[in-house]
Amino acid sequence: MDASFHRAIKAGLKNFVRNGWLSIATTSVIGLTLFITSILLGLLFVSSYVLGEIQDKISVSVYFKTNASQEKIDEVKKDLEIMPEVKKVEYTSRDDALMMLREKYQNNEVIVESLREIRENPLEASLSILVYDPSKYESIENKLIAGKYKDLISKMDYSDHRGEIERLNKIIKSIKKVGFLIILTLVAVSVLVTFNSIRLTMYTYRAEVEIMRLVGASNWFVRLPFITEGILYGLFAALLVSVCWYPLASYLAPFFVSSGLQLDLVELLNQNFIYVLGIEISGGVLMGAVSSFIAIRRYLRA
Amino acid sequence: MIEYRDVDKVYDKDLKALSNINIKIKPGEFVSIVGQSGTGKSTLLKLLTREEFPTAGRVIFYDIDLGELSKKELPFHRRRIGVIFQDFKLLPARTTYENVAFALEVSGKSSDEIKKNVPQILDIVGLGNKFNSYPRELSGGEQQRVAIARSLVHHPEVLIADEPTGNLDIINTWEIIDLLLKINKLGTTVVLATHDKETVDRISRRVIAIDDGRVIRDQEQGKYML
Ligand SMILES: Nc1ncnc2c1ncn2[C@@H]1O[C@H](COP(=O)(O)OP(=O)(O)OP(=O)(O)O)[C@@H](O)[C@H]1O
Ligand SMILES: [Mg+2]
Repeated sequence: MDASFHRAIKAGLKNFVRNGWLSIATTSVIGLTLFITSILLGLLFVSSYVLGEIQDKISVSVYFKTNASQEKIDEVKKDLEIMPEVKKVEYTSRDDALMMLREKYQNNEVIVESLREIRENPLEASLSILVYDPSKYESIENKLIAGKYKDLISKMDYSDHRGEIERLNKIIKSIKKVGFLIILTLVAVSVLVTFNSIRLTMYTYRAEVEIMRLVGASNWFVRLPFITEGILYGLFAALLVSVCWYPLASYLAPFFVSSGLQLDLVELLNQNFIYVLGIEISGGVLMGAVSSFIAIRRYLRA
Repeated sequence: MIEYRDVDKVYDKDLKALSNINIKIKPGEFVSIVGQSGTGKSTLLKLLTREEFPTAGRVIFYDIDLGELSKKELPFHRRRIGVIFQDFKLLPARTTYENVAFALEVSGKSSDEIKKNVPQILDIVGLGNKFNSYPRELSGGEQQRVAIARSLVHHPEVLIADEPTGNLDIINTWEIIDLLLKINKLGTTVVLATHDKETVDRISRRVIAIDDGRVIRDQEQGKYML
């Protein structure tokens, strides 16, 4: 079967070249589908990434009364750390807090001066708590305030981004919903276009197909050239689209930087290019192969 | 052994192309199927190549009930049968050699096998000097020889010829019939459908006459009579 495989692939390549404009048009349609699909997936990826970044910035800080002993605070820290929903607990001592304050306002004479005047450090020690799931803050807060440590705690303080998180979640949801529809429509269109191109080729080759069957060609032998042709459409479309990603990424990169996101698009693409290419190729090839397969079915009856 | 058992074939509701066909053909026979146009000769042959299914009854080919052939087995069945037609069915963009090689290519034969077999077969049909001609550069008789070479390249047990001389003049007709007789002598069963009286009378072998989808006569050493 080696020889016939080889021949079928060659025949498929020949069809692809012979079809000229038809091949280019089909390739473009598959390419467009891949492109828009990837953009939507990219958007989904970026917004999930941004969401993660913002969620990482949410934390709750627990401030301890100035008379709370170091041992007690360490105990609280340990208690928090063994909770499964807690990702990280960071301790800031009273001295550290003062140092940070000084540093922050080192150019502000008034504050520096007044800090020097106070003999005792007025700042409280604190634990900054980061959790995996922002919805869990409430339960932690309740536990601390209501529990055995309530006498130690002076206050709790959120660095709050809940509004932004909500908005991002909404965006992600709508991308998922609308994007899915767009992708589905586009895939259907490209399958149809590819299907038609293959059918046209098959029409040109119908005498050949009839004779093939007459002299005892297996169904796979008849199919293979046309499936090869379909796969080639998908393959070229995938390569085309993958190459287009670089200019697009370098064009978009400045926007990301200026919006303060730590996301270097070009670098990201560099690191993941193999995966991007792999996904584009599998998508394109699958679309091409499936459309050809459907297009040939009719011709293979009886 | 080829056997038609109580075969009916109905295409459209009222049109019965074949009724109650019972025929046995032994290996090595040369059988002519005769009858007027539209009486069902081609239909009879298409049941053998499994291009058509019988509406009723069974067609048996060397112990295989053709109605039970799977999709996978069908190509292998077709390689056991060579077929030629009135319109030759050659690929115009391919040379003599390529047209014959094509039949081997599609069944996955190696290039070596193809290089060995094709010239041999082309010699047998008398086209040893026309390897590189395209069908349009060949006479009708020569084109039919290419088709015969292609049908023989799998060494089929049966050669089916549906009106193979319909487009040929008298001399070419005779050359083709002689070739078929020669092939038959080498051991291949030949089933020939024709309405050419002179041809049948000169072959002087078994003749099955069909009229309106029924066998009306079946004679050894028969003549064309309707
Ligand atoms: N695919 C088909 N669909 C419907 N009717 C068909 C089909 N093929 C053949 N027929 C009908 O079946 C009958 C027998 O046709 P068939 O081709 O077997 O005749 P034939 O004896 O080969 O004729 P000819 O000598 O002209 O080739 C005819 O009436 C024909 O119109
Ligand atoms: Mg006929």
